[in-house]
Amino acid sequence: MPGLWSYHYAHQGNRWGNVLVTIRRENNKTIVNWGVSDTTHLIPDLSNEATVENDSSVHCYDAVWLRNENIILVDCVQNSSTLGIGLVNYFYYINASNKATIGKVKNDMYVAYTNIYHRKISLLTEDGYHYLIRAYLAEFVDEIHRRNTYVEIISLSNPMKPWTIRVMDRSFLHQESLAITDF
Amino acid sequence: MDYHSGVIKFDITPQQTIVIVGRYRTDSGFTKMGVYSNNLDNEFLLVLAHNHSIIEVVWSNQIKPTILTKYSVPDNAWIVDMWVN
Repeated sequence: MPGLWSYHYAHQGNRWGNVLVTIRRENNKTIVNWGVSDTTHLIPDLSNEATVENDSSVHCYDAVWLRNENIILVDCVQNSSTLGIGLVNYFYYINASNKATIGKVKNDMYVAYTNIYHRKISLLTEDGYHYLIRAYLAEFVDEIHRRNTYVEIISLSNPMKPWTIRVMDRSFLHQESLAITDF
Repeated sequence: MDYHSGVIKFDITPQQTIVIVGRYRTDSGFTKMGVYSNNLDNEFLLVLAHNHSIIEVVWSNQIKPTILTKYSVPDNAWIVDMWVN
């Protein structure tokens, strides 16, 4: 897969899940592919494809497939440094049936990172609630902030209205630094 | 997993409160983590790795984690990702 930037292979309990979502770049375009494995396709068929954005200032890191809602959620930033704003977080939403972008929602960044090379998101369902966990990893942010990374717990009861219920940073954990390496 | 202080385990309660339920303290600079659980709850095996070694820790007893096995990683190798099954 030329331009492969990221893949998301979800867990299913202790095992590999059957859902794979990938992100790749093609010139200024960010493209997401997704598919499932079944008895015919032991490796997920990634023929489902959609363009997330056609803008060189937008970088996307990870994506999940909300199968019940038929939505692909893509975690991105837009570099608005020319406007003096810096990096701005966006969730992009893609309809998994017609492969059309159905919107983007701005969300907060609690540390003024100037570069993010990668970050991870993961879906969790607990007590009937749907959560998205997003982690900034020390290895993939600018060096000055490597000891100040954090995890967010985001409620996805309504995927189009993500709501951050907790930011787990170094102050939440009562420690001087937090350099997250995996989650 | 924090590079400097180790693994922090938390729970999301039905009231949507985040509760820290355990810490496996280590300053060995582990960079990758995997978890296996038979009951997908409190009983689990923690696997930690850096570019020199991989260790398996039984962490079912919160206050008494036990290192089960240690494996060496070959020279000039690095670990990109890790799964436990």
